[in-house]
Amino acid sequence: MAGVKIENVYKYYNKNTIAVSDFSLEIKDGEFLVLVGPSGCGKSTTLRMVAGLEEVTKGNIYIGEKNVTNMEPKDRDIAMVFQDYALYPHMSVYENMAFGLKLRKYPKDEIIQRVENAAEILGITHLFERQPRQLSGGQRQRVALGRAIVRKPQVFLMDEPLSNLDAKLRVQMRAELVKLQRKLATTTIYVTHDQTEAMTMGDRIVIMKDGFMQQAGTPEEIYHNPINLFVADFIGSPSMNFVEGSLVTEDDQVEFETDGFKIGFNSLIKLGQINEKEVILGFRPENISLDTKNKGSWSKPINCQIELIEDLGAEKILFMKAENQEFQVKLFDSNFEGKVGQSLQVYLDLSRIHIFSKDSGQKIWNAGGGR
Amino acid sequence: MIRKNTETDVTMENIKPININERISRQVPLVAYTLLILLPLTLVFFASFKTLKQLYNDPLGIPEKWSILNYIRLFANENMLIYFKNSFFVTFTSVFFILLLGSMISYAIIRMPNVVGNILFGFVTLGMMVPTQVKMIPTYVLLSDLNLLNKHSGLILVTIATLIPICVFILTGFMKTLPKGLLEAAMIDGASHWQVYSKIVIPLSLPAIASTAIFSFVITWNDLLHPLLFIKSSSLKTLPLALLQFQGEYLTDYPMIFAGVVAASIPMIIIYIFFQRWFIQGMTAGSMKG
Repeated sequence: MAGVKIENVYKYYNKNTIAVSDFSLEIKDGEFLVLVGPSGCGKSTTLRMVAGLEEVTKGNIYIGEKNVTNMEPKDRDIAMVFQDYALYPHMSVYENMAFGLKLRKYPKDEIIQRVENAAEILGITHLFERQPRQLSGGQRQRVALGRAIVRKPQVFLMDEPLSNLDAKLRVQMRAELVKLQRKLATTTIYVTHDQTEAMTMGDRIVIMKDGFMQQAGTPEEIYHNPINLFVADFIGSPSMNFVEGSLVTEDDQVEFETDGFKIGFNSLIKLGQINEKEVILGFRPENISLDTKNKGSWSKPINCQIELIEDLGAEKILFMKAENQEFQVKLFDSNFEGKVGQSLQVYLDLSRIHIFSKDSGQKIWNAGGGR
Repeated sequence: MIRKNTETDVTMENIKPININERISRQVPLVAYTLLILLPLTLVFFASFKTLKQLYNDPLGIPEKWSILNYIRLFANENMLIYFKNSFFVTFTSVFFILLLGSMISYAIIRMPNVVGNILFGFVTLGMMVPTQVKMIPTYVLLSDLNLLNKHSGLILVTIATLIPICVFILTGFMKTLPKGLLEAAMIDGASHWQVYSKIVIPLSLPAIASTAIFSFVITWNDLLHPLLFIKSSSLKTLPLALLQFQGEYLTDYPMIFAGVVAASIPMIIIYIFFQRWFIQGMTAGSMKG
């Protein structure tokens, strides 16, 4: 096993098309790293550069101590699972799994043993004789994983491997994949556009946009301490609420003022602590409450009206409107009996708010991490 | 409220029987084309069982007596087996190299960066646009300089060069439809370019290779122009060239020529029947996938 080091890597397709820009990251041995971002953010290109399927325009990639930047994919000791599985259609499941080992001229006994072991782990021993076209989506997925793990590579690379599965199977395979990775303890780089996958699977997440890395950190860090508006918006479902407004000072207290309401920060933000006046207030839907019974640093009540209720069973999403401001509230109270059109008072947990610069979109303050 | 969708309701009444005019307009061209192909073949087949006199008396009719004398005379000529052997040798060797080299070029084209691949593809397939008649003299001079005139190797070389463009054209079109991920997966599994080509691309391209094989086989087997230009010795002649022997200055032995044509087409028919399924698959491949 080995770690991966990506050092100031750039990928240009031509002068005007920059796929990845100044990407640097160190992935620890055995770590499960998830690259996440919207389409075209450069996450797959980064993965393909690590695999050797795309040339690196500038920068270096190391696997373990070895600089693999200009190495052929076959010499990098990696295995990759593709979005469409890329199983060889003219070979049986067994042949698909054994192909890489045969090419590397492993002894026949070892090939049989390795393929059988991998198949046992994945529960596909009974499928050996089948052709890929005779398998279901989930089975194909397992075979593709099997083909990767028989090789016992230094690094697993996975390019949206679950996106072709139906929702239920995806959740099931997600858990299995994580368990498998923990068991094998092989460094894994996993690409997805699904923030739920990223949050639930990764030891660490890297969020990308337009070829630039936005933030890298544990799921918890990213969720609670997003570095900018993009990250705050991208991670979390429903996503964070954003309200534009200004910071004003009243009676030596800093307050946030917007069309619908005014929030005092109860000395959380001290005078002069934030220089910018026009800001964006961010708060997650679960950090608003209909009462102040629970632990938290609650704001003064905000008057608003229910516009829509989405009932998800265990939780409810309320779409609220306060004057011109709209935001969502996530309630874990299944007994809530509010109706659309009903007026309510809600309270914001001040210990969980974020303040972003309106100009740059960068975070300028959050309750958890200070400035 | 349940909406009744009357427009899309399928009942027995609104399934229209296929209009008879529509059926005729569809079938007539097909039947006409089939007749156009079958009639001359049938006439040749019938004529091969007639005597010269019968042929002149009743060129279109069914033979009075189904005599296989022409076939006996054909194969009584001991050289005929040599001509068959020559044709087999030239055709199979040419087709083998056309497919081998053509598939390698196609693989190279699909693996190269788009611009370079397209330039190479354009360069190779440009050969399809040059008619053989235009390059007869330069080719003759070249083979003469290379001391390859009146040799099977010379004939094979020219045949390969002539047919590679069309082979590359068909195979590249097919290989471009293979999922790129498969080739990448093989590279990561540890395959060299040769292994990707031989273990992944070739097995998956068999339908296109089969149709190219048949196509090249038919053209090479029937080729008269190149053997006529480059082969002089009787012992090196291929079948189409040999059949010319039966064409005299004053009198042409048509029944013998026709018997020769029928005998010569048997290997083609066998090969076509054998590869037919793949041939059709190869011709339609790529039309369904984006």
